[in-house]
Amino acid sequence: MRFDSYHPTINLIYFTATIAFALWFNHPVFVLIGYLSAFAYSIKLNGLKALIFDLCLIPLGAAYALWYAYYNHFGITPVHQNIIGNQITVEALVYGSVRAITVITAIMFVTCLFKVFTTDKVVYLFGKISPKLSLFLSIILRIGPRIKVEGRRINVAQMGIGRGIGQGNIFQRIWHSLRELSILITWTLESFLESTRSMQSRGYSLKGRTAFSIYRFDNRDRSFVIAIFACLVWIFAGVALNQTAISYDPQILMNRITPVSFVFYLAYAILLLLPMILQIMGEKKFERLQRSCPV
Amino acid sequence: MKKQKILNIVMVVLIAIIVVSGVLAVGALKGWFTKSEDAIATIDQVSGIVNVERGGVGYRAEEGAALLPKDILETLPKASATFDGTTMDEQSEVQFGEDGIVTLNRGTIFTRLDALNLMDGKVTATDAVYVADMRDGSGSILVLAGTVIYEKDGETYTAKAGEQISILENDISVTKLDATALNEFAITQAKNAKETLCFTADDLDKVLADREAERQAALETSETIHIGDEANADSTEADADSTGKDKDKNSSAAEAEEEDDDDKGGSGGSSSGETSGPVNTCTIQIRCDTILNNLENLEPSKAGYVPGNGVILTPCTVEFEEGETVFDVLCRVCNYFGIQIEYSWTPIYNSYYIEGINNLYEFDCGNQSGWMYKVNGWFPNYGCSSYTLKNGDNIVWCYTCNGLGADVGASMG
Repeated sequence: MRFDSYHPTINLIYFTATIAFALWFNHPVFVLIGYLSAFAYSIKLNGLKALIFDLCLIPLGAAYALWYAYYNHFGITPVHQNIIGNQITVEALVYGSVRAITVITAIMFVTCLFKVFTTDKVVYLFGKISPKLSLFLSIILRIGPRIKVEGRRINVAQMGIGRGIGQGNIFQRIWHSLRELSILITWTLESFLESTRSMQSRGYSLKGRTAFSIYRFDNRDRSFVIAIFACLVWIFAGVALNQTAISYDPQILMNRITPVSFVFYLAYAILLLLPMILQIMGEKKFERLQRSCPV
Repeated sequence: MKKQKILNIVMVVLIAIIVVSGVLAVGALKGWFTKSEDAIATIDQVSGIVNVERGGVGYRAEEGAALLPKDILETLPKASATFDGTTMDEQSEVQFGEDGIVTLNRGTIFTRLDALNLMDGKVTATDAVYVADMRDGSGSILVLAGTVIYEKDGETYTAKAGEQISILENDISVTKLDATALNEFAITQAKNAKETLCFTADDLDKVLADREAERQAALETSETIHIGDEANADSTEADADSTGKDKDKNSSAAEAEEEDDDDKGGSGGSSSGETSGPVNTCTIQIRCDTILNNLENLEPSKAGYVPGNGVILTPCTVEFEEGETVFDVLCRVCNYFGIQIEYSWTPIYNSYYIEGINNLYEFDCGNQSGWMYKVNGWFPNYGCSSYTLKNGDNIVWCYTCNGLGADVGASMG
């Protein structure tokens, strides 16, 4: 039941929808729901570090709102006058803070995304599009650490014959580091050549090759997709019925809020909170099973 | 694999069903599937933001939409709506009953309806044109033509053209209607009405002129700004009603700014008050009548800031010092009359750029729209703080919608 054990496409759909909505909606209620969900989800996934990060974002958001109101002067309720004579208005302040909150929400969801969307899921998704691309990606991702390790090995070997980076006067040190760099480049090229030959001998360039993946698309994923689409349809119905419409310029005017509007708010909240709820439910079930099964 | 395929197909089918039912639900609510016989009224014209509530959901009303029984039609500030001979003023709410009879919940309507519910009473009208108003627990019916009968708690009150029924908490009375009881909205509607009303167009124009004169008398007399164009003999009583409303909101701000606003980044010029030597005067006016020809491109939230006749500031004469620019005069005049204005300093052109006047900004009426100015009939095409004024200059600020000035007379884009 845990969200990160679902199929990667599910994670992709969820995060795309969430971040797109977070950046698109302007309406205060939707923005608030987005912000609170992002806050809760990031704390659930990342713990105390996320809490500190989120709290640091708040003053940045406030600063942005003030900057926005200082340089944009639309609106009919003036609060203060600028040095060159333009008015600082309430509408500009409110709009600036709404924009700040939407960006903060998107940032928090992106931190959740990094936690849920691990490298192997990215590689898997790329592999669905093209196996060659995913293989290429996995090779690229490995290069950095491998080169670092090999560079250290070269340095230790050279130190053994007195030609390390830290030995000799300044000119000798420069010369030694250049030599080590050249050794490293040669090694990289040779290892690429070796990998290519070994991949070719394993049938890498043959047609009809598929990539192995550990993810299965089962009924649990299917029901989640149906639930997400139901929520999406509900939210888009709300957009079509102007429930998310608000105009800030030059007067703050909202649509009527009726009892039925709360149904749309609920749909948005469900869409955003579903993974967190599933994660919590999954973990609780796991704990319960662990406790009841003495080992 | 076959089982997987079947399950996937089931999932896709379920999703398709959900999507289709969603679209049908929204369509039914918005009235895409209603036949024209079921509609009890059609919305003819919408200006600004107007909402309709149907089936518990409120959404934006569009021109040409059909209205069904149990709908609630509401106009937000600075908006108006017209349906079947009735026009609603801003911040009004009207409900259509199941029997098709309209109830006025709050606000003002200018109407020709035969039947109307108002403050728990029934209005019956025969060939009548009247203004029904209800705000803060009291209401009134101002009859401009025909006969109107108001029935409440068993009592009946009749009013003919030229009379008004005032409905208060405990007291309902029928009195004579004077033209000064009509507000701006009612006068505009009355002037556009095709029927013969108890007031002629001249009567109504006189009321507007009197109000304009009162407004101008109420403005603090300024040594440097004289209302009215000395060159134009005919006084334009065409009301800058937006000016008036903005003035009421910003008058305290305007008067506070009067003292410290005189020199805004332009070139030199000492503060006014010293009239040593010959007096330099110029005339200035601000108009946005091109918007009236392009209303379909106008942002809905700005519709209430376009005056009915397109004139934000009627021509007025301003005194200025040597070396003052168009920008200085514009700022002074806007601060005096309380007209909202926004400008920004553009370093590469070394001048101020006017982004918006009276809440009408560039790009609000199409992506070629914005403010341009001409002096003595010619468009300088550079920043207004770079144009130094000479005595007798005639400045016109106009809003262009198409062709980067082509529709206000500039020769090139």
